[in-house]
Amino acid sequence: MSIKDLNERVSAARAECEARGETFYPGASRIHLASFPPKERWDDWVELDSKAWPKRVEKRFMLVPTTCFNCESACGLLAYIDKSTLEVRKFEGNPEHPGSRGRNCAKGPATLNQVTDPDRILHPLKRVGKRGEGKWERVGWDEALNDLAGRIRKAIQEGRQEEIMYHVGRPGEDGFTERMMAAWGCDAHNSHTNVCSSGARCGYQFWTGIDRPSPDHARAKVIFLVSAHLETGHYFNPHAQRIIEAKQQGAKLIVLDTRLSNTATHADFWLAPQPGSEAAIHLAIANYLIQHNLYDRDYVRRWWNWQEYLDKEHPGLEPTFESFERLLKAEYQSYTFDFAAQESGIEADVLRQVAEIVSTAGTRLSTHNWRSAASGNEGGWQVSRTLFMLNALLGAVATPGGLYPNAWNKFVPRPIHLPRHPEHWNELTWPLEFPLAMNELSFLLPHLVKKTGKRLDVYFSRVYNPVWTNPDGFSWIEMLADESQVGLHVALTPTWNETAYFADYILPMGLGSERHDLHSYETYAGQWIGFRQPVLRAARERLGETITDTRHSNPGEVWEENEFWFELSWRIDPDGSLGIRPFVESKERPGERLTVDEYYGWIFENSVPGLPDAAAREGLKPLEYMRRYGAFEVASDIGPLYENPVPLEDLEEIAEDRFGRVLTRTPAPPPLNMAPTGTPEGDDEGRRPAGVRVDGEVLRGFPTPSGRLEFYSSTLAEWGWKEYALPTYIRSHVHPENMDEDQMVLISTFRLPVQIHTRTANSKWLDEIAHTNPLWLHPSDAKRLGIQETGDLVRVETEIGYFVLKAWVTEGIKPGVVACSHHMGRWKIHDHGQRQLMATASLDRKGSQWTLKRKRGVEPYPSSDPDTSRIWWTDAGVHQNMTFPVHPDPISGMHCWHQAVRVRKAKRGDRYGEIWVDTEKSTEVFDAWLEKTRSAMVYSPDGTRRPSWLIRPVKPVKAAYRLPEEARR
Amino acid sequence: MELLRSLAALAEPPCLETPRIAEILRLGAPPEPADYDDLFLFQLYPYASVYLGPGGMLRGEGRDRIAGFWRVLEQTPPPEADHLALVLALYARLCELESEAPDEATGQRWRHLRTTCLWEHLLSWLPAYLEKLQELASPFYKAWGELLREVLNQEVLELGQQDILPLHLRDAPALPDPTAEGGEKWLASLLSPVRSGIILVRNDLVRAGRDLQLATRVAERRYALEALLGQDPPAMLEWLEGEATAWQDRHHRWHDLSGPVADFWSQRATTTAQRLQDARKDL
Repeated sequence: MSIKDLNERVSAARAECEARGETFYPGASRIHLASFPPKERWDDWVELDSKAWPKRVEKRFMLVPTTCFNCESACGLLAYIDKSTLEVRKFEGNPEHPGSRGRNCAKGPATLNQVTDPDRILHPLKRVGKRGEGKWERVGWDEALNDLAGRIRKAIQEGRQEEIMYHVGRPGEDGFTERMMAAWGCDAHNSHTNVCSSGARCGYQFWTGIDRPSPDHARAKVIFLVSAHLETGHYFNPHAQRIIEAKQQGAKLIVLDTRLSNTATHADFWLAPQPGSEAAIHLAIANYLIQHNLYDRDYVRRWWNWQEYLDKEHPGLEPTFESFERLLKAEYQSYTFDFAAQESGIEADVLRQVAEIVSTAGTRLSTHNWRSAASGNEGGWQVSRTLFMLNALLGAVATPGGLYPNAWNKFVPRPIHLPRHPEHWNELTWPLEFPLAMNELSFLLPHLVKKTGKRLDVYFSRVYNPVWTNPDGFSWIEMLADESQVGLHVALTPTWNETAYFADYILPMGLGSERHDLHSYETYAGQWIGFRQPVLRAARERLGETITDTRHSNPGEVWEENEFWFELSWRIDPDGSLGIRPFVESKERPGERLTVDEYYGWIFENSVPGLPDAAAREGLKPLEYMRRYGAFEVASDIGPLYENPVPLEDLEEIAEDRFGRVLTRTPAPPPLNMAPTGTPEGDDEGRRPAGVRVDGEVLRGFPTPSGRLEFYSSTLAEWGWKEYALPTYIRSHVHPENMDEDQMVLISTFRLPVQIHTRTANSKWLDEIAHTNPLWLHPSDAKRLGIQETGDLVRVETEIGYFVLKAWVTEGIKPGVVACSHHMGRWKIHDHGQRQLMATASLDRKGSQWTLKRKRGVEPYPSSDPDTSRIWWTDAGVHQNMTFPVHPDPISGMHCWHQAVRVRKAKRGDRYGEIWVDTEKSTEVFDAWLEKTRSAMVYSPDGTRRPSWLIRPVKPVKAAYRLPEEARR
Repeated sequence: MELLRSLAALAEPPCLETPRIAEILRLGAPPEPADYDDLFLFQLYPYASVYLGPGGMLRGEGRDRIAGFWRVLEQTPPPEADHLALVLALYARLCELESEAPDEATGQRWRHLRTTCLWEHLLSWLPAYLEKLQELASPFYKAWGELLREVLNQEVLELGQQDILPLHLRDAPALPDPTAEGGEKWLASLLSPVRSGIILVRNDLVRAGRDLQLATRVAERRYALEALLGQDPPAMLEWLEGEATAWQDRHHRWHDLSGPVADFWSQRATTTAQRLQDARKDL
C-alpha cells in the first residue's frame, strides 16, 4: 500500500471513529505528567493492578470528579472508584477543571489518606465531664440537632442574636454560610481572615473596591511576587503552572522573600529585604517610573481619581493633570533607591535593575501579594497598596498579562434563595475601634469577650482551630474552658484538633470527597465554577441508586455541611414563625425542606450562563453535567470591564458629581455574578452609582466611591487617617527603630509546600515528608549567639513567653532575621488526636501562667492501616503561635504576625517543644495595640460604625450601621 | 497528514488505542509495553536533545531550539518539546495547516515552516536514530521505523533537501582533544552522538563486554564505558574504533534522504575513528 493510500486509510478510520463519538487517538500526550483518561471512558476506566504484577490483572474504575478541600485553590480531583468494591482507590487531577487543568500538588492525592485515616471522627460526640477533660460519649445526630436548634431558637426569640457565632477556617462554598447566618437574622459570621490575608486585601480594596488580586501570570512579561506562589499560598498550584509557562516564554520573575524559599530559587531576581521594608521597595520602583516619565500618562489621567485628590488636598491648585503630575513627582521623590536600600538592606543598584525591568513590562506586569509581608507587619496593607500602584502606573490593570481585581475573574452564581440583611451589629466581631477593618476581628475574641463582658451562647468553630492557629492560644483556652463566656461550643470538623478538645459537641463533617460545595476562584483571566461532591454518592447515583442524604454514602455518620445547615435551620424554625424556614424550603415541593439536588440543580439551571447549553449538547441536565465533569468555564479572556460603556438605557435621570461619578435612577438588574465587591453609596434621591465619565463617555469603572482607581482614599482621610490617604510606607512594628539591639525579627507565617495549617495532619504521606519546623538561623547569627550547629536547642523569647526548638543553621535566611514555619507543633493532651502528627503534651496552669511540655513524640501504633505501625518519625515540631501576643493593625485589623524576639541558647532544663506564656502579659499587649486605633466613636464622619461601601461578608441593614446611642451622645 | 500523526501516537507508550492504530497501519501484532519500555526507555531515548545536544543528554540546547520553534508558531512549548512524538505531531499539524490555507501566500508560509521543521528538527537526527532502531527494536517497532523512514522519504521528495546544515549541527562542537581537555571530557563526548557521530546504547556496552570478555558494570553508560576502558584500554579503544568506522558507512546509507546531514554525521564518525586510533597508538 502506498503512503498516500495508507494516509487516506488512517484519515477514514479516524473520521469513522469520531463519528461514533469516540476518540481515535489516546488523548493528551502520555509522555509527561499531562496524562489523563479521556472523559469518554470515565464510566469504565481500566488500569492494571499494580499489586498483581507481573500478572496483567485489569481493574475497572469509575472516575468521579470533586474538588480538593485542603488549601483554598479548589483544584479539581478525580476519584478513582473501584467498581467491584465501590471504594475510592486514589485521587488524581481532573483535566476538565479550567483552573488546575489536571494538575495537583501533593495535598490533592493525599485526600485518600484523610478518607482512610484511622484516627478520624466518624460519629457525633458529646462532652461528658468538664470541658477540656477529654471525655466523650457518642450521640445521635437528632439529639445534637435538637439541642442546638432549641438553644439557637431561644436566643433568637429573646433577641440575643449576637450570642450566636459561626467561626470559619477553610471556607467551603462561596457565601453559603454567610447566607445561612443572614437567614437566621444573625450577624454571626466570623472568619479567620484577619490572621490570614486581610492585610493584603485591604490594600487592594482601597485602590479598586475589590479585595483580592488576580494576576494573569501566564501572559505576563514581568512577574513580581511578594509571596511564595511557586510552592505554597492561595491558588499556588494554578498560579505556579502559569508562572512557569510565562517563564518558558521568557518572562522575568522577581521575588521578594527574606527566606530562600523554593519560589525564590526560581527567580531571576531574588530580593531578601529586611522584613517590613517591602513597601519602601515598591515605592522606590514607583518613584523611578514617575520621575523618569515611564508610567502610562494617559491611563493615569483617565483612571486615577487625581481630580478628587487635587480638590480635597490641594484646592488652591489649578485642577489640571499637569498640576497633579507635578505633585506626584514631589510626593514620591523621597523614595529613592538609596532610601529603599537603607530600609531593606538590598543594594540600591540591584533595586535600580529591578525597577528597570518593571518599567519594560508595559501592561504585562503581573504582581501578587497575599499574606507574606502584608500579614507580617503593622501597616502591611500598604505593601499590597504600593505594589498595586506599579500596575496602576503602567496601566497593567485587567490587561493580558496584567493584574485583575478578583471579582472579575470569578463567578459566584445566584442561589435559589437570597436571605435578608440582619438587623443587628455584632460588636465582638466588628468592634468600634476598627471601623476600616477588612474582616472580623476574630483573633481578638477572647480579649473582646473579657473586655466587654459579653458572652457567646452558641459558638461554632468550623474547620477551624483557633487554639492552635491563632496567636495567643492560651487566651483562647481560657475563654473556651469558661462556660460563663462560651455557653455551648460546637466543633464542626472532620478530624481532631486542639480547639475541638474544648468543645461540647464534635460533629463530623465530610472531607473533600464527602461533601458538596460550589467554588470559583480567580486563577487566570477567566471565570469558572468548580463543584465539590461526595464521590461515592455520585458514583452510586450513576449506577442508578437514589440517595437523598449524604450520610448514607459517607463513612460512619459523617455528614456534609449543606444538608446539616438546611436541617438545623429547618429545626430552629419548625413553624416558620421566625421567618427562617422560607430560606431552606423547597420550591418544587413547598412545605418540604430543600435538598442539595434541588439547591444545586436550580443554580446550574438558572444562574450559570452557558451551562444548560453545554449540558444539553451532551444530553445531560446541568446538575448531571456538573456531577460528571466537576467544573465549567463560564467565561474566558475577561478584559478590562471598567472600560465597558454603560448602556444608555441604564442612564435614566442621571446625576453627576464634579469628578465624573455618574448616578442613575434606573434600577439595578439582579446581579448575575454575586462575587463580592465594594458597594458605593447612591444619593439621597434614590439614584445608584452606574459608572464614571471618562473623556466624555460613561464607563462602568470600579466599585469605589469615585468609580475610579483610588490613588487618594477619601475614606481613609475622612475616617481619621489622613496621613495614609495616599499609598505610602509605614514603618513596621519590627522596624529596627522599634526593636532593642538584642532583638531579631521572627518570620512565622510561611507554609511548607506539602502541609496546610492543621488540615493535613491526617495525611500520612504528607506527614512523612514534613513533620518538623526548625528555626532558620544564619551562620553569622549562630556564631554570635554561640549556637554550634544545626540541631542545637534554642529558646525564642517573645513579648509574652518563650518556646524551645532546634536551630537550622542556613545561609537561606537574611542575617538578623529568624524564621519558623507555623505548620508544625501539633499536640494532644488525651488519647484523642491525630497520632501521625501530634505529640502528647501536658498542659499546666498557674494563674495566668501556662506551660505546655512535650511528654512523648509521635510513635508507631497499631490500627486498621498497617502503615501506622511503620511510623518512623518522632518529631511533630513546636507550637510557636501560642507564644505570640495579638497585634491588630489599627486600620486593616490584620494580625501583624512578625515578632521581635530574643534568641538564646537553650537554658539548662529547657526541653524541646516546651512553651511558656503569661496571659496577663498578652492582655497588656492587646491593650497597647488597642491604643493605636482610631475609634468610630471619635472619628466617624457621618455617625456610622463603618463606611458602608466597604466589603463585609454579612452586611446588616443600614440602620445597624448607626453608631450606638451612647456614642452619638 | 494523518499518517504522521498516527506514527507519532505510536511513539508514546502503548495504550488501548494502540492495537487499532497498529492494525490500520498494518504494522503487525501490537507491541507489548515491555517492548516499548526496552526500546524507548532503556536504549534509544526518543528525544532530539539526546542526539543533538553537546552533552548527549535530555534537555539543554537541543530542546531549547525546538522549544523556540514552538514559540515561533505562537505555541506554548510542552515540557518535553523535543520528544519524537510531539515533533512528529507538530509536523503533521503543519502539513494540515498548509493544506487548509485559505490562499497561496498563507500556504507558502506554512510550507516554509513545515520545511524548517522537517530539516532542522527531524532530519537533523532521525536518520541516525532510525538506523540504530532497526538494530534494537522488536518486529513491531522495526516496522514502525521502516514506515516512518518511507514517510520521511516522501516528504523530502516533496520539499527537497536544503543546502545549509541544520543549526543544531552547525553549532555542534566537535570531539574534544583528549590531550588538551582531559580524558574525562573526551570520554563523555563519545556518548554524545552529535559530537562523536556514533550512537552507543546500553546494549552496545554489554556487547563490548561480551566481545572482549570484560565485566560490564550495571550503571549509567558513562560509568560503564569508563569501567570497560579501565579493564583493557587497547582492546576497548579498538572496539570503539570499529564501531565508529561502521557508523561512517551506516550514515552514508541515508545520503539520499538527508544529503549534507548524512555527510556531517559520517564525517563525525570518521574523526572519532581517527581519534580512537591515535589514542590507541599513544598508549
